[in-house]
Amino acid sequence: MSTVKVINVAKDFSRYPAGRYKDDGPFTGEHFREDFLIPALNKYDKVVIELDGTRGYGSSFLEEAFGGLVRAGFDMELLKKKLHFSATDSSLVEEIEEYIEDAAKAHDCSPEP
Amino acid sequence: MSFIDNIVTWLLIIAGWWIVHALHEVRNFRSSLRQLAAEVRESASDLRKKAYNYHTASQHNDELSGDIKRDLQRLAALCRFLQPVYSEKEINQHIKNLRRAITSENFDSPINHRKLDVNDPVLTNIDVATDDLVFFVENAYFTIQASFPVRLILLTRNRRI
Repeated sequence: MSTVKVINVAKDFSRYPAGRYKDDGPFTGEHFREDFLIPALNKYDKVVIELDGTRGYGSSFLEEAFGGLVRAGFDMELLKKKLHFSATDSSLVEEIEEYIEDAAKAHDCSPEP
Repeated sequence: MSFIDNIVTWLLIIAGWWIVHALHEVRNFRSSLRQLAAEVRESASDLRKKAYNYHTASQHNDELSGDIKRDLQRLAALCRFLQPVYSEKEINQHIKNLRRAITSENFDSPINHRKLDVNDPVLTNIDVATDDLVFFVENAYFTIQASFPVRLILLTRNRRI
């Protein structure tokens, strides 16, 4: 049986998500990725992110939280399969998907260590 | 008067009513579009000013950054009303461009905040994205005019404005 985790950004994380790196504040994209997204992706088959309810998102937060998953080693296809979004503003979902794809492209182009 | 004549008379009455109703609906719709365009122009202009103030300030401003994100959210909601004219994808493209232009670089980072010069590419991108969005919304009025006969046939169904 598949397991599902629902993360409501406003309720579970913050109504005021802001910033890219941990140095930028208490509710940044890096915090969200490391404290919520990665543990949920490692434990559950499907992760639903509810984006409504916050006071808006900056692209820096979105890119670091979701594009950063690819840089952290998650496969794009796996993310497409596992990550699901619920949002009134569908431009947010499109933007997140683009960040994941862009990060995957950059990851593929980067030289092997 | 024969039965056929009666039928023709009634059909003409119904067709006349239908055309008047459709014209009224289209007129209302176009008037809503004009209002929407004015509202978007004003909101986008406010947003551009706030973005300029934020990026040209010597320090990160938490309150202003919150305002900018809220305004972007409101502007996105406002643009949803264009869905009878444009596809969701077309609308989203402009919203994403504007959000990226304002909030992807030098944003929400108190430690690394830079005071940008007025000629900085970040500010140029904000100008371009704002102008594109306003032009896109203003253009909806003419797009609706071009599709006028189709709207007439469909009795302006799915009207959301």
